[in-house]
Amino acid sequence: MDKRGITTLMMILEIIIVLVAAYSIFSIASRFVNSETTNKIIIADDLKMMIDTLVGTPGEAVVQYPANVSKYTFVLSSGSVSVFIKSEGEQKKIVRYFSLPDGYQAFGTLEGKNNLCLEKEKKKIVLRECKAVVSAATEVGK
Amino acid sequence: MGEDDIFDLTRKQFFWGIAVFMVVIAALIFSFILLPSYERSLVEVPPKLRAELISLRFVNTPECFTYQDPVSGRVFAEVIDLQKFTQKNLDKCYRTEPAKGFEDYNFALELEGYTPTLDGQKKLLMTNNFFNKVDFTLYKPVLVRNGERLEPTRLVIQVQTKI
Repeated sequence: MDKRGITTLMMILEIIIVLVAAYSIFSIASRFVNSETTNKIIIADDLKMMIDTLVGTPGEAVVQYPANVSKYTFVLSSGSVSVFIKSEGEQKKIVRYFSLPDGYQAFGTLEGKNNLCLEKEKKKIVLRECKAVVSAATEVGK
Repeated sequence: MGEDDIFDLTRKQFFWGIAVFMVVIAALIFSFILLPSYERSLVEVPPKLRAELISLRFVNTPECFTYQDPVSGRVFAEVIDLQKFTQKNLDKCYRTEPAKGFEDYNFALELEGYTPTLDGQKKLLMTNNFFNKVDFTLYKPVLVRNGERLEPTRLVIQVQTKI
């Protein structure tokens, strides 16, 4: 093989290596951008903080999560809240733990609904789809 | 192929050996250090906000220390019932997991002017995994119901975020 042949071969090899490196870095970055993990972590943290707030609120209260959550499935129990996408594996589930005072209960599940509400009724915290609120003005209009 | 050409080829192989190694290291740093730390920064919640929200229960929840009228059942937010301000009630109010709860938020509470002193040290109410590593302190102005009297003071909340 003469010198020109070797130089061309090395150049092709260099180009292939650069392309492979660029592709692998871009694929990692695009997987990260398209990942739902960040959203799930944010929602799970928000729900945990909403539950802490409801526990520290005297009386009864309802809070609506201010975003569309139809992609996700939620499971609330007395010690934790889980957020996941049904088609994904168990290891991609995001779980946040919290502590309730004695006598308190938390429960509820939600799947494929646009809106999510947390409701405090006496010593119960319930996760459910938000009920439509009919205002007094609408009632009078009827 | 002359002697110079052989050296040129060897030099290139040597260069690419190092270059591939560096690219692999860069990709590993990117995917295992830079992206996770960026992700963490996106989802980070200020610890003081978390602690504020958890500690709302200490001043607003009758199952903790808040005064509740026994007749009407009305809860007086930010009024601490001195009779309820006990370690037993704190244990019922906020409890972290016994084994790994030190990774969670823990608190030590002092009701200014009402906390007893033992051997020159204030006897604070502590949650089950509080180990005196105070990251920051929150102060909440409250009223203390002492018998029939209401007295203004502060609830001092020492916060341990994680060990």
